[in-house]
Amino acid sequence: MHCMSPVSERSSQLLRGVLDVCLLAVLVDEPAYGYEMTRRLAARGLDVVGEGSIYPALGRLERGGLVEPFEQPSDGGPPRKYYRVTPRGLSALGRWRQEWNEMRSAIDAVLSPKEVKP
Amino acid sequence: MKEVLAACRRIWRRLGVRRADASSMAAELEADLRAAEDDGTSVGAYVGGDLRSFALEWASARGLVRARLALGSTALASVLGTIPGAFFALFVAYGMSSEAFAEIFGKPEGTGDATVMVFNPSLWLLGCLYVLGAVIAYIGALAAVSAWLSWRLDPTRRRTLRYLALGLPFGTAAAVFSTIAFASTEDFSTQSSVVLADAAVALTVFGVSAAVLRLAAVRQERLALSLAESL
Repeated sequence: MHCMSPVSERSSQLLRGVLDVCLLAVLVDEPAYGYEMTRRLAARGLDVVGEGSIYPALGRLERGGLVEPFEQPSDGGPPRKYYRVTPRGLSALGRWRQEWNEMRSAIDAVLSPKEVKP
Repeated sequence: MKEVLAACRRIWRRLGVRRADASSMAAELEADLRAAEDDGTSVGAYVGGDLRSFALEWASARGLVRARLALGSTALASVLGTIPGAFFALFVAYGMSSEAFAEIFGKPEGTGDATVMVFNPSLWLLGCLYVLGAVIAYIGALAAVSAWLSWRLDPTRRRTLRYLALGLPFGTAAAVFSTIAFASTEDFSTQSSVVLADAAVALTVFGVSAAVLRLAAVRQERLALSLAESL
């Protein structure tokens, strides 16, 4: 059984809530295959994307029509499955970015240390 | 890597994912695992420790896990689950009236050479024991269906168990009345062929009840899913 500490479990829960928007964000510039996306996320500091969690998120995005898969030849091997953002995915990304910014501001305001009056 | 891919395929097969979809996911995963290995990331670290959840979540997220009917296997599991309760009831019906049982638990009746050991349980005790047998059969049926659907990673398991828990008492009643009705046409004969036929009627009606309840649960699940998707 996989066991996580309370802190990493919280991080994992937080990530689950925003992983789809993060995947859309790293796909906007250029299409990518699954592992390439984890590399791009890691390059931007999101190193917690192990655990194969991107695949269910990608599945949801594909099912929702926000990304579309296509095959591209690979070096020497069979064709590889890549994903690209659809126009619907682009508009969703814009919306989610705004939601995230609003949410982050609100949470920052709640979490910021406050002077306690004596 | 081969073990991970084979394990994922096994899980998808149990989930009822179509072979073409499973092959597509396996090919995608294999290519990514190779790339991860080339980067020095182990297969275990990439996929994570809980392979079952990984494969299940992925297939579910892609909408490949459909609530399958599995009416026959559910009916069979429920019938098999009643076996301990049925044996208990048979013991109450025949074992407790046997001479061997009377020798151990009976009281002597008669005098001299005509003394025999007799065990005459009271009606309320017999009634309680039959009810206990029914409870054992009921719990056994639920446990067997639960184990079977759990092994299949069935998405409708909980709903099915809820329906069975509520509906099986009625199914049991239907089985009892059908058996009594059938037995009455044979003048309640205790010939082995008739007793076997009685048992077949009871088990068939019970199994059909379980199948009908499963059908209702799956239909309700599909309806709930299509409603959720349309929102």
